Amino acid sequence: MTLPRHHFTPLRRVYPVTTRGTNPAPETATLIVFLALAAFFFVRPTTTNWPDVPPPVVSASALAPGPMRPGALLTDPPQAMINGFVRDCNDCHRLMKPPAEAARRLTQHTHLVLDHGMNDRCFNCHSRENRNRLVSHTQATIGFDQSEQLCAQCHGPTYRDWERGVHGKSVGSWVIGGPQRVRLTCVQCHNPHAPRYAPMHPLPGPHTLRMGDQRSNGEFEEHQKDNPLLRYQREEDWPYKPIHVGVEPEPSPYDTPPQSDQAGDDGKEEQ
Amino acid sequence: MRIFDSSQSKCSSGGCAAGDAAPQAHRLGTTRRSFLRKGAAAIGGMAALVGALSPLRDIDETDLGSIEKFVQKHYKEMSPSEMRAALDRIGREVDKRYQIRPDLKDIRPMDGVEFVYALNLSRCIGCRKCVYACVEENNQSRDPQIQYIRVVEMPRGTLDVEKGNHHYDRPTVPDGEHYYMPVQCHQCAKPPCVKVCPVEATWQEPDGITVIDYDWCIGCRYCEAACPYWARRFNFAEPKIAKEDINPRMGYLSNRPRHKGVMEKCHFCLHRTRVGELPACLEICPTGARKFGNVLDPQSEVSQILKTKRVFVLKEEAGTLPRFFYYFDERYPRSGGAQEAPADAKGGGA
Repeated sequence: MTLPRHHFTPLRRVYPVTTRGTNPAPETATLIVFLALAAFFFVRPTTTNWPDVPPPVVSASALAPGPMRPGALLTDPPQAMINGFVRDCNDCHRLMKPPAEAARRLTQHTHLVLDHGMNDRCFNCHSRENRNRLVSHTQATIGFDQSEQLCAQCHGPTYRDWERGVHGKSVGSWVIGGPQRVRLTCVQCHNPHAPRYAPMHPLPGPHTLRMGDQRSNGEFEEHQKDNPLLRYQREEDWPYKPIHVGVEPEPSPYDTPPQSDQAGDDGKEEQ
Repeated sequence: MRIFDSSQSKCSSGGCAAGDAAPQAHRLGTTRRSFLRKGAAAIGGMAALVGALSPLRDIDETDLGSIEKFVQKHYKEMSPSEMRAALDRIGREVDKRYQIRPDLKDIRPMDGVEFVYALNLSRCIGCRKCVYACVEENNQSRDPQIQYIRVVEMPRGTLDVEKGNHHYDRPTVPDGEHYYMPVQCHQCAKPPCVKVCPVEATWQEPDGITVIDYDWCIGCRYCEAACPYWARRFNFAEPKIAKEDINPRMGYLSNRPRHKGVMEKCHFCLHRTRVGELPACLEICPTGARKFGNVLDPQSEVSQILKTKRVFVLKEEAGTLPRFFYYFDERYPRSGGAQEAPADAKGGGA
């Protein structure tokens, strides 16, 4: 009888006291963990590092599709809208005889910029007698609807590629011989007076998740210096000028010389 | 009765003294200390449960999906009537989300057609118009931004993509010292992304386009890791597109709006190309550097390019057999600055 009582009493009295005094009960620790997790999820700290700068918005005006030169003369005789009337070249030029060709400043057609390499004489391509026609090296006249024949005289390999469809642009359909397929000719992309493409403003680069605008503060942070993605920007291109896309229509790369970006500089100096 | 009153039964069996009330109460579990402890644990547990479930506050209908979507079959197993039902469901969802009734179709590949893309690196000037034309055509998320095409600015004289930079941001392009290489899905004949998909949510169609069933994708991103061209994109967040920017002309396998947690990628604009039109990136290209067509037609532009030009594929050593070819003109690209062509490029078409 004494042995069980002896066992019961010290165990019941001593065991809870010692456990409470030294190490907390396991459910208390669990409770603390639960409460911490509850607080964490309830407050919901933003664990994803979203870019501070929203992605750039590119308006539809910056995405005008081809053909690039809608004003190209493609008919024989050429037809141009002049003062609200459709005229051809001879409407004026049959009265006005051409002056002798010499290095002189144009008095008419002054908007033309002639930048075609060594081909810098009007009558290399235009017929002196019949302004509605073009003229080849052999003095044979070529209609404005076949101006690629004129270009082919000098640009042989390019013309060969164009005939195969390798050079140039086709729009509408990929089906060869299909009704919707439109094969653009030379002058629908290139200005024949200044055929080289002017440099363009590139649209903004990718707005990568977790990277944001890497150059918005104008200087590289210390931790960015080893970023291989930034090395080109680091070596060149400073100071950084932001490109506002779609705010104003992009200047046409044709018929106008490239404009200098003076407005951006002034804005920066004022700030 | 004894089952529910164990202390009494123990005491009655002679285990404890008659006046020993405290041990009895302790064994009953009704001391103030144990009551408070268990109560606090219960409250804490409930609070933790509520806290853990609190993200459910953000759930909207688009997260939950619908029963119809859940029971929808795989694309290849759907009968025509089931496909009609699926298109109808997607149309209703798009209507609800963007207030626009889409022209949604399931367009199947054409017979005797294998699509191939070719890109003239001598002509590309890196203007990135293709990137944004693609975004506009294919209803990609504007925020966070998802783009299928990445234009890499490469220093002249190398094909090492590691030396490239796709964050270039110059006042004008081209700059004369670099050339520009747009990279998008190469529609490989041996696509590693298809091989790794655990649920067959992506596959290669007979016309060579690798497509994704956005309703079947589980978002594991294995394909993204497998692609050597970094062509696949993941919707980390619910895509944001303004209502007026939605392109209502949609295809089931191409540009219908995606949800959070699925992959997407370039599909050669199959809702356009499978009815004979050209991809949006080609239509916008101001230089005509992009060429697209049916390689099985010997008169097509791409066939002529493969026949007459020096073409190469990116990362040929990966063995993926891409249907996306890059080529140069014989002449060194003269765009940009007035630098001299290197000696090896002066040989013309050699």
